[in-house]
Amino acid sequence: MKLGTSSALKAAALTVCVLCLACCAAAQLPSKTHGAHSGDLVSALEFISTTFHLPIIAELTKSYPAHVSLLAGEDTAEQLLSQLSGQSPGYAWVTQDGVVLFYDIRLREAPGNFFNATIPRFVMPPDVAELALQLNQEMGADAGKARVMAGVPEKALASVKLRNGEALSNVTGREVLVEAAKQSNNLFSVVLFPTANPRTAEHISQAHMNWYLRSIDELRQNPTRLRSIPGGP
Amino acid sequence: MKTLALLCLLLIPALAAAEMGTWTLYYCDTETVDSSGNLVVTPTVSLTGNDGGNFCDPQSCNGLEQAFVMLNGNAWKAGYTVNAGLGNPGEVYTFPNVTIAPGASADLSYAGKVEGTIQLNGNDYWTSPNMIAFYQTAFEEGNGVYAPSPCWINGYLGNSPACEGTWPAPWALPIRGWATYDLDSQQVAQVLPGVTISGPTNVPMLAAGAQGSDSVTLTANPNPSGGTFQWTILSGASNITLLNDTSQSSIVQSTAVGTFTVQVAYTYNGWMSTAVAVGKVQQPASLSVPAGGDTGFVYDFNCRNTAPDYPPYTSGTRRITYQVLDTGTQPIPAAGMSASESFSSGSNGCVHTDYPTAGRPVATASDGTFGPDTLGHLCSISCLPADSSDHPLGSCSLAVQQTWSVNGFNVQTRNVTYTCQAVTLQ
Repeated sequence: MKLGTSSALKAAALTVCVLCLACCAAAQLPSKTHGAHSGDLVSALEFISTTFHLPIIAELTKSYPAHVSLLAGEDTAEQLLSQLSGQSPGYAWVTQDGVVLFYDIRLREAPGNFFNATIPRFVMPPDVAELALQLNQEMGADAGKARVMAGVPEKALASVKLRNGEALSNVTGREVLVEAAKQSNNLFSVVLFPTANPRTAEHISQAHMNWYLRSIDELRQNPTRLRSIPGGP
Repeated sequence: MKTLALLCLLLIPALAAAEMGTWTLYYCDTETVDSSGNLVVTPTVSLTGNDGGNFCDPQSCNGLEQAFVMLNGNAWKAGYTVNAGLGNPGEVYTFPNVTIAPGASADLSYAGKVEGTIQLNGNDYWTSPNMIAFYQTAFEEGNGVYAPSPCWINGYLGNSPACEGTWPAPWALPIRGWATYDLDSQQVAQVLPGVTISGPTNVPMLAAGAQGSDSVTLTANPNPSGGTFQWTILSGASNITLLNDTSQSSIVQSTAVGTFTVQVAYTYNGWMSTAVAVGKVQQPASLSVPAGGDTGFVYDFNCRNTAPDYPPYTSGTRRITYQVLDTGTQPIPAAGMSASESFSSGSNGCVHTDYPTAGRPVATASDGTFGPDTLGHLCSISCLPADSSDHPLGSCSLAVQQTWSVNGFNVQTRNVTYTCQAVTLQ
């Protein structure tokens, strides 16, 4: 079972959004007066997320833009995201259930991207701290195997609550994140893959080590600092 | 409130007469610091001495001898009435408090005034050292009041004896006058600005090329604000580097294991105060489990939701919180150290299970702890069947080698074995 009827509707809506990005986003997001911002792509996404309190799930590759800028003014989040994608070759964005997905176009469809892996059954834990632990184990596990648990939950995420016990079937990690972002309305996720076509265990390991789940509330005081990935792409 | 000082000054070595009666007026103050750092000055005056038999006694002149002090440019304060002769101990007049904020100053200059009736007898000799002026305002004879006599008391002689003279016998005429004194009149109380240092003083080392915190931020807390700061290393200069040394907050960055002392000098309105902080640089070397930091194995995970076999039992989890220790096995109470785990695969006899994936590093809390490391969730059909408590009765084991590093330093390697009924670390 895959999220049932509503899931199908979401998929349809997503398709529409991809075809008509501006229409889909602008209809949902009001404009706000904001200051200028310059920095790398991650900081710009955080700026938009905090300015509009907008959940964003970002899937980036190592060569993501190090310098982008957003002009001060009164804009919708959609307008700022468009400014951002215009300065980020190879990147696109869509909205899904009020959650922004900002991604490297090649990475999004890559088989080695563990956010594409199907999880047969995922039960929502009580909070995002537990979700991060569980999802980290379940995404990309060898088919037909259940990973044992090891990891440390982030205390800052324990206060971001989810609908504990809600079961999702045959979903991707990305869809789990969208659902969690929708439930909490307080989620910012960014993952950095070493390449747009991850193939090796090292690629996957580096991406796991560079996957950050954050509450939007903590971004201003404590912005995300991605770990550097050594070597070439 | 803390009492700082009791300052007493001789204010008026006053009126003397032929029989050498002397008034001595003392100015004292008690200085305290209140909870806001203000200096609170409580001035008092007291009068001692004796009249040498020449001043009128209280019964006849109703205690007219009085001493006054003018403080801080204010009007004459209520004075001191001499009772039962001069110099009764314990007769102290207390002025209202003068509150001086840190970094501020106040004029505590004072002047004194004595007023009384001097009854001079024949051939009495009198003098008044340090008297600036002593004006006769009236004198009485019998029932009459006479105009001031310039012959008698009209001195204006600075610090030399102001007036001296004798009174012809046999009369004894009361003379009423007043005198002012200028004794050390430039009493300016300056309260130094206040400054303290707050912030953590345990600085972790960071291995080359590793990520994590290798610094702490010390913050100067000035009172009042608006001044300038200068941070310096008093000792242990080879162990730390000071950044932002002219800001209110300075960053102490570790360079070598050892102790250090830093000082901040806070200058406000030309006045400077200092504060020091002592700390140490520590290198992560091992882990300990604080009391209550290990939950043991708790059955709390429903394997019925875990693919691929959805085994019908409740699995368990062991949660362990760690404390980072230094090379001397002392805790490192530092926030932001990066704790990272890695795994080496071992043996696995559990059907349809896989080794854990390491997550990204976590940061230590301000007490240097992190966790809990969450180990468990072994969901395998090898563990079936389950007992009446839904706990697995079967057996299998999955072993991995887990290595923790903190700030790039290896601090612990353990063989972690997951079984159906336990998670053990060796």
